This record gives sequence, C-alpha cells and structure tokens, in this order.
Amino acid sequence: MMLHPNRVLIVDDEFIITETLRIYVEDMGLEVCGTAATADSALEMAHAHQPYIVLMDVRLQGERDGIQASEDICEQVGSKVIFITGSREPATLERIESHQPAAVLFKPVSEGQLGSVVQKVLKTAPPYQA
Amino acid sequence: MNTGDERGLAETAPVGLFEADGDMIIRAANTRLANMVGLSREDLVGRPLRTLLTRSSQFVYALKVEHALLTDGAAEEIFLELDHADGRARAVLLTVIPDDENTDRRHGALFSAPERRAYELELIAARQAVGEKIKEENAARQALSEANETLERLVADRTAALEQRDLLLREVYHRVKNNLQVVDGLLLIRARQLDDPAAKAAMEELRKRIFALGLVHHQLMGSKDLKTFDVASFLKELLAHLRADAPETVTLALEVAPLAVDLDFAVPLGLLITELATNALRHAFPSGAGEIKVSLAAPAAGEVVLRVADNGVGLPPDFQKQRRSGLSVVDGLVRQLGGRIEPIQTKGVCWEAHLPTPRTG
Repeated sequence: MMLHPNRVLIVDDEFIITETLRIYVEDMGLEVCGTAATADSALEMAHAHQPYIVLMDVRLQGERDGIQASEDICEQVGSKVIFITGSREPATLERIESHQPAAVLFKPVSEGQLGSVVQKVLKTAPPYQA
Repeated sequence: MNTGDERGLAETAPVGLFEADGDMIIRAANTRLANMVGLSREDLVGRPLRTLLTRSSQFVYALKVEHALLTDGAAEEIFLELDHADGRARAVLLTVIPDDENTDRRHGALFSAPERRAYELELIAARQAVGEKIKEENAARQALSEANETLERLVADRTAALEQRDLLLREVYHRVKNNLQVVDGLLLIRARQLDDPAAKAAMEELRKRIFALGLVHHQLMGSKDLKTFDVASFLKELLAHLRADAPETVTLALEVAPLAVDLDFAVPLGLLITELATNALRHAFPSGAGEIKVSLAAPAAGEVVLRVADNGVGLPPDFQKQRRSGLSVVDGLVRQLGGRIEPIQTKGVCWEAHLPTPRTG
C-alpha cells in the first residue's frame, strides 16, 4: 500500500503540544490524520491512515515509549519518523539514532525548524498515486 | 679407674654434678651442687631433683625435663632455677644423660648460668616487642584498610548521590522545557483565535521570549556539569529562531566569543537580546531591508560587552524622553545582570551593554 505523503500522524502525550504541532502541520498545507498519546494507539493509527510522516515524542503514556513505537511503525508501516524530544540524555539519543530516524528535533521546536525538516523528509517521498 | 681421681675431678669441676636413679632421685652429688642449693651433700641424697627447684622451675621441669627423659632418656641444656636456702634463686642449665650400663642410673650436670636468665628475659622482651610491633603494624594495616573501605564507600555514596542529583536536575530541566513548550502552545492556540493584528503580534513576541527561556534549559540539559554551557551555541540557536520570523531581506549576524555562562546569566541575556533584536526588526527597517548584528565579546577581564546593532533609520528624536518615562524591560534586564547599557551613535542604532563576566564557579 502507498503511504500518503500529505498525511502526518502526531504522537505526544501532551494535548497542548499535539495541538501546537497540529497548527504547524496544517499551516504547511498538510493533513493531520490523527494524534496518539501511547505507542499502541500510534501503531494502530499508522496502520489505519498510512501517513508518510510521523512526529514522535519519546516519552509517551503507557508501557512503551516513542522509540519502540517508531521501531514498529517503521517496520510494519514504513512511515518516516521525525522525533521531537525534550530529552538530551545521551543514552536516549543513542537509542533514537540507532533506529535511523528521518530527523531529530529538540523541544522547544519552532514552526520554522519543523517546516524545513518536514519539507526535507517529503522530498524523499515517491510520487503519490491514489 | 682411680676413685680418688674421679672424686678429684667431680669435686674440682666448675659444675654441680649428681647421680640419680630412674626416678631422678639423687644418689650422690658433688660439693658444688650442694653449695648451689645451700645444703650439704648428704642432705641431697634421697631427694628428688625436682624438689631442689623454685616453684616455677618445677613446672618447667615437669614439662621439659621429664618429657625429654621419658622420650629420649636424656635432657640437654634446660634452663632452670635452683631454690637456694638463702632465698636467692640460682640460674642453671641442666643436662642429664643415661648411664651406659645401668638403665636405672642417670648422670646429671648443672651449669651455673646467671647471665642466661637476663639473656632469656631480654629475649622474651625482644620477642614481645616484636610481637607488639607486629600487632601494631597489623592494627595499623587493619585501620588503613578499614579507612580505605570507608573512603571507597563514601566515594561510592557520593557518586551515587551526584548521579541521582544529575538525574533529578535533567528531569527538572526537561519538565521546565516541556512546560514552556506547553505555554508556547497555549499562546499559539490563543493567537489563532484573535483577529486584531496588534494583539496577534504581541502574542507572537511573547512566544519568542518563551522560546528563549526554553532554549536556556535546552542548553543546560546538554551541559556536562548541568550548570554551565557555552554562550555561543545558545546565541546561535536563539538567533536562528529570531531569523526564522524576520523578512528574508533582513540579515541577522552573530559574532560571539566563547564564554561559559549559567542560568542566572543566560536567561536575562537571552531575553535582552530577543528584546533588542525584536525592537530592531520592528522599527529599524521601514524599507524592509537591512542588517542586524549581535556581538558578544570579552575585551577586558571581568567584563562582557554585548552589542546589538542595526543599520536602519536610527532612534526617534524623542527617544530619550520616552525611555526615561518608565523602566523598560531592557533596562530592567541589564540592571539584573549588574551592567549598564547605552545607545551608541552609529548609522542606525547600536545598543552597547557592559556586563560583569558571570561567575560560574
């Protein structure tokens, strides 16, 4: 199945932050196909909506964190994961890097930063055929 | 063999001699031996040798002499003390050998050994001293190893406490940053609901200040000691953020010397630069193009000089009056940093602040 290059899934357990990111994403002319606060619902939504891009926080509600969610989504769905994390813990960063994310951004993330990273990742998308 | 000769030798030899039976009861003794105990030769006959000894030597006798006689039939050079009738014990060395023919007969000699006692005492004292010394050394070694263990434990405890502290600090910075992102989000969402462009712009400006605060905590989280960080990387990110919202025709340049700063310095500095740069963006370039240059240098010891300069239209004529009318955020921040700030006459506006170098010990 083709992934939708104009669809973005937002994964963060903080409502205000998912809403902020939603505004950023919609301002770019992209569609937010859903927001998830846990790794499990993130995977479920990725399966259901097939987004090309996932914005992923590391700390999530529930047992599993964003790195584990990313692993599953990359493997099963194939979406590009952009991490947006508040952590600068070397151990955490190492774990993120070992999963070869599309990009890593640090909170506080600005609209400009997110915009340029998303544009860069979108350039890797194959032409979409509905 | 001539009895007279034997008598002569036995009587003249410088040792106490005796003959005893298998139970070490004296059968004959020479005069010297009699003198050694202050008795007559006749009195000695029939007495067990043991009874001639001091009480403590009787123990030694039982332990050493009787044991040696039982196992070897002979004893050699055993140190003993004879109980003399005058009350002064005489130190001697006892040697006993069996008779060649009669198994129930033994021959004994008692050599006077007055020096031997002192020598033995010295030996004992020396041995004790060595023992004490070894004990002391052992105690010292033990104390040292205990002290080492205590120290190691202390270091381990301290390390664990520090690690715990670091963990907590990182967590606090993380949360502060996250909360600032939430505040930023709230402002963004609220700004979207506003129609008034001035109100919208005010919200956007607030968001810039909040971003500056968040950036400080972001730097702190990446800092090795969780306390200080290089101001250069901080200002680079801050300027990058300010640049993102500026028109493309306005350039923002940064020139910064390496300087370790902490939270107390970086927060007002970040806000100050944001304030001055935003002012420049807002007022300096009615034509929409120009350059803003931010520089931070440490030309003299103890002082940091911040300049925020633009090549725009300059300050309005009534600026000084406006400025004195109230304490601006800029003045307040500079005062908090313990410095002073003045506009310098240039083509545009150049704010120059002299600030004391942050103490980051």
